[in-house]
Amino acid sequence: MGLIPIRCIVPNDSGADCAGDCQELFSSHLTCTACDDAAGTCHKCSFEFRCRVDFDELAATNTEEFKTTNHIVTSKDLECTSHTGGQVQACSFLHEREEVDAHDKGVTIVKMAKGQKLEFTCVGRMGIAKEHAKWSPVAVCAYRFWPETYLNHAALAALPVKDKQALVDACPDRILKLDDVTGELGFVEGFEYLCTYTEDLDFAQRALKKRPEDDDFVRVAQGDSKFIFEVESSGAMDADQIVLSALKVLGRKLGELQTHVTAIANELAN
Amino acid sequence: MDSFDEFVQNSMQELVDDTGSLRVSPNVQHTADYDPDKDYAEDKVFEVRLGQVYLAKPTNVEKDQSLTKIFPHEARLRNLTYHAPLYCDVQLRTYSNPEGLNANADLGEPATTEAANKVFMGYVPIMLRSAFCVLADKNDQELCELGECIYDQGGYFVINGSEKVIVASERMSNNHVYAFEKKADSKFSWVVEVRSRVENSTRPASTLFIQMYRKGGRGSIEGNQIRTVLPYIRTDVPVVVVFRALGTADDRSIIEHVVFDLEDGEMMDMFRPSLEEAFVIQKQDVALDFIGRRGSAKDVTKEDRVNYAKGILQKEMLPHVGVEGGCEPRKVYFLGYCVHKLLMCRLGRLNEDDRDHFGKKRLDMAGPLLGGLFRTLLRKLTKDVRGNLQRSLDAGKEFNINSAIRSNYITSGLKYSLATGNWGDRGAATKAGVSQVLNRLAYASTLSHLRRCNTPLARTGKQAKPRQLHNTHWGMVCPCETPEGQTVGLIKNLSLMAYISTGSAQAPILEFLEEFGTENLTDLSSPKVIADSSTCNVFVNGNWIGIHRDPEKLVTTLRESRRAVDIEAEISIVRDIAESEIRIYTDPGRICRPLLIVKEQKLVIQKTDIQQLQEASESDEKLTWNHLLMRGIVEFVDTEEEETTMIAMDPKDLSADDNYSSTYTHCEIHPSMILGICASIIPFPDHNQSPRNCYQSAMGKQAMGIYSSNYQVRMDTMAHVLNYPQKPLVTTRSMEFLHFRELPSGVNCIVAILVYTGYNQEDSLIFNQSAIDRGLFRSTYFRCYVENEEGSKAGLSAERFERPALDTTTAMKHGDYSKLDNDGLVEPGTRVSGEDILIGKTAPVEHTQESRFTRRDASTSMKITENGIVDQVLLSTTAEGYRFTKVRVRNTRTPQIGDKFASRHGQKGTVGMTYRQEDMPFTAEGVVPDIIVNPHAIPSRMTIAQLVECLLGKVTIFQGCEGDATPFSEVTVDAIADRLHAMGYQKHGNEALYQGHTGKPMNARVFIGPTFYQRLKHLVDDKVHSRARGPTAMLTRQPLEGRGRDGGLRMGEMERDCLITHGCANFIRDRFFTSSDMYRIHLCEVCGCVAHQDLKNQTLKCLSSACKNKPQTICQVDIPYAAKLLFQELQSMCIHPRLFTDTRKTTDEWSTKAPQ
Repeated sequence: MGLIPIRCIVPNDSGADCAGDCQELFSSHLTCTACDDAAGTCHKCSFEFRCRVDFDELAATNTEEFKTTNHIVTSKDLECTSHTGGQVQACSFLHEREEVDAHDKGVTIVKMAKGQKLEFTCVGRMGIAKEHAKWSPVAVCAYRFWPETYLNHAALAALPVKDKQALVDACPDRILKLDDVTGELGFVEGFEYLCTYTEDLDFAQRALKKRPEDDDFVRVAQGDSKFIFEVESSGAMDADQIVLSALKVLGRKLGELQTHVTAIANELAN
Repeated sequence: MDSFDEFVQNSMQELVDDTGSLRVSPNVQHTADYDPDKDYAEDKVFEVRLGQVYLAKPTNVEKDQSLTKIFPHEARLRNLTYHAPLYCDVQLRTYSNPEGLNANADLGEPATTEAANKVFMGYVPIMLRSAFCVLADKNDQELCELGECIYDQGGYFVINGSEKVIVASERMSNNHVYAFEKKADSKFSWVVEVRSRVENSTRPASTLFIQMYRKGGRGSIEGNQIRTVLPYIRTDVPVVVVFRALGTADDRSIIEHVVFDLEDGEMMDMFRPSLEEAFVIQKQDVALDFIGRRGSAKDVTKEDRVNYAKGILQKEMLPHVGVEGGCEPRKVYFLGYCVHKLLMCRLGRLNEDDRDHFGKKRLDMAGPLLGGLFRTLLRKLTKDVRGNLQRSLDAGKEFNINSAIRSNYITSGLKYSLATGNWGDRGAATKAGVSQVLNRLAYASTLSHLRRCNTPLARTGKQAKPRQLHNTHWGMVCPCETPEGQTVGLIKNLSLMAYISTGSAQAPILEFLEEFGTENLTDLSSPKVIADSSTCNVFVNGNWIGIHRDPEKLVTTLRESRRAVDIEAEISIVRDIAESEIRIYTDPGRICRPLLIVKEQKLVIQKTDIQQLQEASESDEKLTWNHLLMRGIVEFVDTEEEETTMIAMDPKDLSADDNYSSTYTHCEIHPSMILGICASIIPFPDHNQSPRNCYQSAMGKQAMGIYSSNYQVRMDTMAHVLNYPQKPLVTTRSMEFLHFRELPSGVNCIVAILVYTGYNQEDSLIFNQSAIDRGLFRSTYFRCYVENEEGSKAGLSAERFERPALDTTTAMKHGDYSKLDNDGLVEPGTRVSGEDILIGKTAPVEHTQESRFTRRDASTSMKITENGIVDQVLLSTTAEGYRFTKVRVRNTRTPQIGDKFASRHGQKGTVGMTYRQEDMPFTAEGVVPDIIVNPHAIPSRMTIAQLVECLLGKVTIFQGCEGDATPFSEVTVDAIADRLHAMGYQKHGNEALYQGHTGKPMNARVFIGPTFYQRLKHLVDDKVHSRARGPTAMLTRQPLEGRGRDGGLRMGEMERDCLITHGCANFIRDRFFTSSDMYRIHLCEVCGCVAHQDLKNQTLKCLSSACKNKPQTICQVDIPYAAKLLFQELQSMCIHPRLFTDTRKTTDEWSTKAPQ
């Protein structure tokens, strides 16, 4: 259950709806100071979902065929019963416009058959992924460096087409291409986004070189000034919000560090 | 399973028939209550004859005598036995013939016949899914409704709720003539052995030895003479004497029987010493007397001796040839054949027999084993019936058959042997470990257990030969799967397609042979014809039947009729051209395997057959295995016949231009069929170093998975279930038949082979904590606690389940009783831990006036180290009708540091560190490994297959298919690499990774991809243990041993040696004394005796006669409690140890201060 991504939709500063706790409506369940009841939960750090599915009830309103199959209880059957600052719901992976046609049934929780009934309430809390991966809004996060490239035109010109083709074929990323007309070697469009920096190209040209100390025909190396950063969201927050709030948190932490460092420096000075 | 069916359907009836009848005549005792007027029927003979046996469907008798059908699942849950009642028709005949006590005499018509139909003889445990099992003809849904696993293949028994497998045991085959060369220091140069055993007899094999003596010293006349060792004869007898005793008296015919070819001067010369030795005995009766003299009977007449010798020759020597009168000529032929073989070997024309040849081995399966057991039990039963009959007749009472047959013998005898594994009578230690508890750790381990094969004896023997893989094991026994250690090579596992023959009657074969012109031995004009090159000796089950003049034709017709299943398909036909013999075997226990038949360099199987096999078109019926056998497409070939075939490894070899052979007779179905169950799970085992496959075969049995699809309704004492198992990306084709996809035991993980932070050294692994959080390798552990109410003992009322009341119950445990319901059981869903009480039970105690206690606590508590949630509670009754409960506790186990994992290549390791996703290295696409393995695990172990699996796995995830990793197939690494390259990845699976902590690119490219990993059952949670103080043993007062008892950690001899070399004396004293069994006693300083301690007056005094009433000085010393025990023990032997103390002055300040 914990792995079902939950979205909280609130209007952001500019008025547009955004998912994620950009306004810091919630505080972490570990640090929440507003809790006063015995359960240790409050509106500031938690909310409740209720789910109630009765197969027989559904069957009564459904077709005959329905009775012979299973019903799948999904995250869509979760219903938020708490009143919080925003609209809290189990996330849907589709854009609103797509949702109508697509048959997104949500995340499967359990399959049920005739005579079965499921009823439960669950508590959603805010936390950070350092404690458990279920709080991570990030599915995939990766980055790669912008390539620094170099084509040794002089050397390439002396290379037969066959060998050039070998170079093109060697790279699994397919970043090179051979011009059909001129027979010149070049990079494909947008190759910067394809580079994975395998060493296949190096090995291939090493075989083509007359002497090992000859200059490379092509060089593709990882640069150090520019990089491509990719984030894929799990659905709990929008990807841009993830980056923004991550930067915000990072900024705050750095700020704290700075104040502490200054404090210590002052202490030492005194 | 076939073997068990054979037992139930045929051999049980045969055994009962063999028992024949028992005849009793009244033997009236003229005692006090002898009534002369009563008719004691002294002249009558009573005969009890057992007839047709019937086996009903499995049933169970409840306490209230109600008979109910029993299903295996119920038997498992309620700790019952899954068995069926056996009934037998019995006839009691009365003859008025006083001669009748001779068992074989014909009594003519009985005077009266009293028949009792279907007398209950006892219960026979039923093998699951055998023909007599209720599950035999159920489909998947019905199985499900009965609480069975649909993938369960049966083949085991349920005895008292536990599943028992009968492990096949290996033995040498009977009736085979073995020739062995003896070592130089032996008296003999060559020995021929025949273990002769009549089929279906209770008698143990009688072994006949024929030995050739070595040439004596230089110039000695003696030497090279051949003698035999006969059963019950003390010394060895010259073989020629035996020939003469059997009625072949003259030298010429003996030579004809032995040498066959009288032109063969060399062999004649070799046989001459034997003839010369027996020169003095020329007549049959002299020879018999010679043998009889050496028998056990003493001081008897010559006539007796001759009869005794005749009896031995008829009954005890070579019984498989015949035990009836008039079989002597056949025995002469057989003996001649044995001597011939000996001479051939001696002359170097034949080689020594290979003891480890698998063709000469037989596997005893459930059928023959149960048959043997049943036979002894039946004998016991008949003995008892005879005793009963005799007793009631002697007393002149009416005889009731129904009550005379006590069902207990068979019921408890079979149950006892199956439950304990001690095969044979209770008490008489015979074979142990024949039946074992079925391993239910993983589905593969269950399957493999059912196909296990044990070699008894020779376990201590150091010789390596029987443990080694033999050429003839090909296709029969898995080359990888065998345990390591003392039983290596002795415990084997059958290959996937290996089949054990169930045995069939040899009579049809004999008839067949007769029909096709086999000349019977006894009809031969002269044994000389045997020497003709065109003739061929025909053997059936090791017995020499006769000769045939056109062996080629005979073998072809035999083979053709076998291929049409006119004679049993499992009969083996061996044509040994070199020795000009045809050997036919029909006995049970031969190891066979199916092969595709090749005719004229072409497979008999056609494409249409294969299509029909795969999917029946509307017009054709679906082909089954029997069709294949019947159409002569495949046939079973046993290990011995295999040696007379030419087998192509691949159909391609048949048509190859440069073909190796043009006389192929068979073709392998697939070479990967040589592997067993566990080895078939390994992808690309042909790319691994051999021991690694062996390790994986052992480890696959410890992997968690779904061991059975009905695990939720089963109540196993311990069970691990993997929560999110996956079918492997890279599979072998055999897996399909092992249901490994349906009941997998692992997860496909992204594995990087990489050095990262150093927490994966020495076979440890780095795990992705985020992946673990998301459910990777999460498993559930079930443990079952069993308790039942015992019956009343010695006048006290019975035990009962209840919540023990604190005020009336004595001997209450530490645990928490509050979790019990009013019925004395915990409620499902309760969280339990530590020593919580799960089942409350009390037993009555003798109530006395002083004590307020009426009951004693007999509750069951949890294991101290475990915790969990009560999953299910079962309340039922035992067979005796007592209430009986099983409580199952469930516990979720998430992977943590210290848990054990393994790939499918014998690469095991424990978790050394878990890192969250953000600290793991990642690729440019954001792929993060789940597991990081240290590269040092690869080179020395040479598990190339793991790398290939990973590479192929990577291809399959991008192409969305399953990878085929069947061994000995055409797949090459280059082909896989090219496919991967085409998908836009580096050919060999290497990728550029970024360091997780810093984000910097790593210098080296890293091999990363999906690999199937297994979680092994060894979890830290079950192992962590530490103790500061705790319980001690009652006797020695030393700390207990073992985690379950909260024991200490042993400081052993080697650890002690370590401490001594370090010189830390105080620490040694602390470990071995202070923290162990320190004990304080008081001594009299004068006499050295232990002082008497008067606790009431707080005084200490020495009571020894020397010190009594004299001034005393008492001192206090610490000694180990074990030393105190020693002193007491010595005292009990009238040795009085005295301890004298002394204060020594040392420079050490500490010790001067110490004595007080």
